[in-house]
Amino acid sequence: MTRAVQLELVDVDVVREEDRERPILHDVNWSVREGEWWTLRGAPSSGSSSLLATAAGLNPPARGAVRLFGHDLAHASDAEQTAVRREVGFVFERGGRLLGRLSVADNVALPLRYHENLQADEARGRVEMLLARAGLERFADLLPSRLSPAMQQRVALLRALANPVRILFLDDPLRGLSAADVHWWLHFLRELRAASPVSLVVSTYDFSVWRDDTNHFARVEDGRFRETGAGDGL
Amino acid sequence: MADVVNPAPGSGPPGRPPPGIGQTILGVLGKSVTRSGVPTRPAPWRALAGDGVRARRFRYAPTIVTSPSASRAFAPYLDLAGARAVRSAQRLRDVAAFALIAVGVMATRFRVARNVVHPLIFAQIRQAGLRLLPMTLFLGIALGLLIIGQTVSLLTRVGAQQFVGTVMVSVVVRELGPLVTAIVVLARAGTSNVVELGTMRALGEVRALEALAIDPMHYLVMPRMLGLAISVFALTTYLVIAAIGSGWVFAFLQDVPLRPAAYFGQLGDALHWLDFLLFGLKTFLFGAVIAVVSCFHGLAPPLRFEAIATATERAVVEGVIACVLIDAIFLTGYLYA
Repeated sequence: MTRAVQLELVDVDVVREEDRERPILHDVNWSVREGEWWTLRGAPSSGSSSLLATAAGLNPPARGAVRLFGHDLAHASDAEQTAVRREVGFVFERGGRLLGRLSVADNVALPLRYHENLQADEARGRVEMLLARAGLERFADLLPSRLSPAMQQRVALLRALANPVRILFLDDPLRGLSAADVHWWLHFLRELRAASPVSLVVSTYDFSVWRDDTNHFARVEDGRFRETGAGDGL
Repeated sequence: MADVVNPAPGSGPPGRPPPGIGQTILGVLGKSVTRSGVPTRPAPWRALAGDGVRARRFRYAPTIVTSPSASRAFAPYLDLAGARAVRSAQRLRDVAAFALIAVGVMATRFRVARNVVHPLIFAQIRQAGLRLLPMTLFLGIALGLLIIGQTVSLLTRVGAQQFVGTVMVSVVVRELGPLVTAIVVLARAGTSNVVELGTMRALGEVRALEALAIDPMHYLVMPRMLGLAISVFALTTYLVIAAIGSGWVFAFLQDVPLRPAAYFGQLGDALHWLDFLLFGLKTFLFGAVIAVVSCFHGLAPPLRFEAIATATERAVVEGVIACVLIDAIFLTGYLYA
């Protein structure tokens, strides 16, 4: 049975958020189907993070079309864009960009409360359950600045999963993590995939950690996006 | 893990609804098409950010003038003045577009996520209103003393004490009260907004909100607009009351033959129903404008940490200019009315 295409990039030129005039990746053609696990490798400043942001609908491309769940984001209304983005999870690199003025629990609860219009009490159950899964329940009332970057990254993952998502983007999530943290992340993502057909797209500068779990690989280099096999010099 | 992620069934959102308010406004402003001609749908304030980049790249470049020496001497200054005028016009257009988008979001999404967003409005009122109350009362008392102190001696000299109330209404209620309060709120809450939002922008937190499908205009700007509008209105009311009260106390201490009944009677006679209407309009507008200018400078231009101080300065200057211009418009209205 052919799985549905969730993400499709057609002839896309990717630009950085801070400089929209000069594309850093050209002619990207790429599609992600339901349940696939992609790992993209790119050196720092190669454009892999910008590609992820473009694919997630955060960064409009300079050229080409980005379709998420069949919706062309360039021509979608505000309501459509919001509906599509609610089903997309994104974990940023280096600490996950948590809101510094909200506690850990409030950070995780924010998307849930905002989209479901819940009171804090009504979201508490799900937030506690999520925090317990990551072993963070005792940090619930702390500000993110009191946590280590590795812990912040976990909170960012929980925040991205607070609402049901169909595709999850992870921007270099393992950078600078200890072996124990890397193990935790891989274990968590395996469980996640076992429980639901969520698609995963990971950017990294090192394929080796992901080799056993990923079923699709690609490289981002020299301004191009290239799919590559699992055995091609990884 | 089934309870962690529970993918929604179906293929996503329903069919295409009509374009949203942000899309419409940006379409009108011609900001939804890139140079390559491909339509894009950036977040509204990010479209303005793009313009900010272009505006900053606009640099003064001296032109070679071969005409008479006087023209040659003034040409660079004219160029500089022209460049600044163009930049100011671009900035004005960007701030106006930002304000329109903010008003559009407020009109269409006021009740969306109200359990999350409405508490933020109250938080703004606490921060920009309640915390500023002692300072505003102090300024009100000082203002009352100064105005009565100056005018009483003058009016007594010409035997016109019966105009003390009229002077208080003209100076404090119509002009100085709203303006002084607006400047205090701008200095305290406006600058705080720029720093807070600028830091969020520089740290990527605003982008994180977008990734969570949370509109920064709705979550960050709307509560500030409403909170500051209500705060300026409330603070001005307290400032006026404090100034009127302290004015009478000062007059009493100066042995001015002015009974409370006569003083407040003069105030009552000087006040017109239009004063209350314009007082409310003006103070709400001051608060909203301070919020728009400060949020624009915190969110719209591409910010790095080192640029936050400059953005704050710019917001204060533009906020003061905007408030004075609005005041001038209202003054003209008073004069014609």
